[in-house]
Amino acid sequence: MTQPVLEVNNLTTSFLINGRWKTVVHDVSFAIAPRETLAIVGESGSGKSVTALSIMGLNAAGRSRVGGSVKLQGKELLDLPQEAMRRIRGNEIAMIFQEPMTCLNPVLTIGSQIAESLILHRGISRREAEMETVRLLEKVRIPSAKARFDEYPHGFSGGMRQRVMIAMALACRPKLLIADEPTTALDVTIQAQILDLIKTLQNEEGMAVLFITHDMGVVAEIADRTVVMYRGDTVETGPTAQIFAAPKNAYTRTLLAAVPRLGSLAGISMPIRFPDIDRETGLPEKATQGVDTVSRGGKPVLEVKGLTTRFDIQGGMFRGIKGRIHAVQDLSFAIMPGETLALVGESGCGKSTTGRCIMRLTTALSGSVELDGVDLLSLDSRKLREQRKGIQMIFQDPYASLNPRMTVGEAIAEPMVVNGLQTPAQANAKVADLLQRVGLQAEMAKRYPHEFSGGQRQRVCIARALAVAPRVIVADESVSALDVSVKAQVVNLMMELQEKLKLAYLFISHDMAVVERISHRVAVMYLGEIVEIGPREEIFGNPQHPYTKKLLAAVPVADPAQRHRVRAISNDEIISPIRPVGYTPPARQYQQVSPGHSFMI
Amino acid sequence: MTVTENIIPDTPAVEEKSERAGFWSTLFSSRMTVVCLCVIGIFAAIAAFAPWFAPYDPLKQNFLAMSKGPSAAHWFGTDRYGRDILSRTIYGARPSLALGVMAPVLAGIVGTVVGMLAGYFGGWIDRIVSRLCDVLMAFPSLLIGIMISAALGPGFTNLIVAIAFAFLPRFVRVARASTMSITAEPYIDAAVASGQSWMRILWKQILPNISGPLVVVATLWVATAIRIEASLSFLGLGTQPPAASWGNLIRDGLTEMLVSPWSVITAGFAVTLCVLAFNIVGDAVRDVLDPESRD
Repeated sequence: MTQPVLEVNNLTTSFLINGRWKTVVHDVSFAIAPRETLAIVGESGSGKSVTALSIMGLNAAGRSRVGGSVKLQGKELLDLPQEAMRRIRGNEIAMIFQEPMTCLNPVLTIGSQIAESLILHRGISRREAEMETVRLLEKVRIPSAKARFDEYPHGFSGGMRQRVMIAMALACRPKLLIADEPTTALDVTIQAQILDLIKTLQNEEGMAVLFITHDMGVVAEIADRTVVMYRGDTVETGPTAQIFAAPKNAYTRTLLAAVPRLGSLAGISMPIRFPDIDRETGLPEKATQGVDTVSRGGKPVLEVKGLTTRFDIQGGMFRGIKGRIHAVQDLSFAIMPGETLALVGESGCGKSTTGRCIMRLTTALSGSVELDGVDLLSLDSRKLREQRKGIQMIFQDPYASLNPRMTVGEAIAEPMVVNGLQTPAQANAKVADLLQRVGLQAEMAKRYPHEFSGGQRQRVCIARALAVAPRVIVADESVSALDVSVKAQVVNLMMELQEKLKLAYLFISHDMAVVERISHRVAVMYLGEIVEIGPREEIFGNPQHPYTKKLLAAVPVADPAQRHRVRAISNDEIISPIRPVGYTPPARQYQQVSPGHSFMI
Repeated sequence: MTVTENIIPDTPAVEEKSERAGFWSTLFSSRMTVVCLCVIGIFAAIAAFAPWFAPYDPLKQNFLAMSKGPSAAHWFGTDRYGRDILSRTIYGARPSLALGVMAPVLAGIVGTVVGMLAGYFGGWIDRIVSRLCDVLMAFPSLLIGIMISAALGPGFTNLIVAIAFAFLPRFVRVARASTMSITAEPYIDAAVASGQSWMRILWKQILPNISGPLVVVATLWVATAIRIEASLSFLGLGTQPPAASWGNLIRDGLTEMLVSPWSVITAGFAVTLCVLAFNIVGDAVRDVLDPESRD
């Protein structure tokens, strides 16, 4: 066997927290061969990122202790002095991070930043460095690389920035590339591009890749071997195919069982909850049957007609209007009581703006939003407050959507009190009831948000939304920020509540696999418009619009057997719907495929 | 390893101490701060119970003992009317401290309301308020104090209004900026969506979150208020003679400073000590409540 590029033995990292040493990575060992990709997978707090930082020697000095051994091509890294380690970083080990914007200097051009690191590391002349930079930008498949050399980072989209980061990482032909959640902040079609790019470049350059992620789909897609971490420990190591086919550890099984798999509901028309997972064995228990919650035949509970929203872009010396973002363009749909309509699309497609317009948190330009026949957009502020009882919202970030200075009990009671549903004294009993309903304990009402985990906070947010007994809930990316097993539980909770309370959901999400589980119908948004709408089974089984097809093809499949499938993915960037002033959008034609399923021509 | 716990590997990231307990223990961790808090406490006690502490009536003139130096009967001597300087300094703490606390509190209340409205609603309210603040900030606090006291005439209430007005823009700015950043938080959207009125949102959701920086500004300006009161009284615009205040004492003593400096020295020392103590405590409070704003 050839010598591994990286050999990690019994790596143990501790941090000094409040005067005590706390071990966050415990006895982790693995090796990576040349041209091999090893994935470290785990949920938040599993120690996967700390492992990467320990290898790079990037933990805060004085506040951390790293034990064990990290050998790069047989050379021990942990004993190296700072100066020698600095030379290794960038030259022999390169790293790319989750958020590519913060890693680029906003006041320097892309080209000069890459050229600078080439001059620094390789000692070549500026002219040579600039030529090499263009070659690297072409290598990471940035379209018209030469022309974009002099552009600044803000002119690049998230995916393009990550390409720039990869180009910088490749600049010195590293032997090892550490990628820490490089695609987590990206849209699914862009994620697919970046994963393909990393695979291709690895073949061309012969690098070893250490890939850190929480997404089992990405692991299946990219890794030869996988290390599963849980709370600082390695729970399972092995070839990726073997881990997916026959996981030995209960936690690995739990993790795999919780991964939403696209296509798992093919041929079933009802949404079905994620199977409950047995904690001891990590095996899924018998799946529940789908229950038909939709009341058909009546009037829709929420009806959106011709909703249009534009944002002015101001600029120039007198802050004149230079253009308009056509964020939402002539959107129409209806939701029946007990039904879930999913609004899917990528960042900038206007799906969140749609949710905010329906809640009247953002002012729409035209159109109507009828809640049981009452148009919310035309109400004055007093009548609107009256109607808000009927429609509530759950936000994306469970950390930011709770007031840190209010106990969760106060936060849940507040909507009831302001709407005159309960007196403050009565509200306590109702809060306890609501907390239990979302799977928390009644005593937790006295605690502050920071005492809860992400999943628990999202449950609190759901309880707060339920407090006024709404008929419709707008859920804006409500499970996107949660770990995979927590995500499944929160989705299950939402479906259970729908069954009991006949709630209608507008489920805004970019996560196709979750959408498949929860929704009755799906609307696909692109550039502010609905390009395809129909029953979930139809959209996933028989997509018509090219964008829907592209979106579905880009979703990583948690199946290593499909790893080498070739996707039809271009280098397109996600464009934003910025139009000049006075632009009139064309009238759109829709073609019906089957009852309720139509797409834009 | 086996997974024995609940499958939610999902624990709160940090355990924080009770916020209030943390505030006091951090504040008391510096010895200097504790000493200064004691100094302030002593000043407050002296001001509150001035008749008990003062050996003489501060207004009583004694023509048998004019412009005397320190003696057993008059520890810090007497002024040119034979009034006991120690007693006058003790009584002088009353207007200084009362004003030092009341002016920032008044400015804080008005400024917070105005600043929160500007920050929450933005638009033309914000533009008008911000421009007015810019104008007020262009003048030094003392100058505004002089202008307003001159316009309103001397007197304790007028003095409070004058100094509060001079401080107003500082509170408006802090309240406005903090409100703007809190308004952008999703939990404010959540409050709007749940049907809360803007008044309730400002009161229950935003105010508790911006009170930290505002308390910091208030404590930092107490010392300045005491200084301005002394300056205005010195100029004859503040506390009116024969009532005692530290500024008055210095003004009275100035004419005979070369012959009998005790009035100036005693009152000057009281002002200095008090301002120093409030400044150090103000800095300490800022370090605890609002560490980012540190220069």
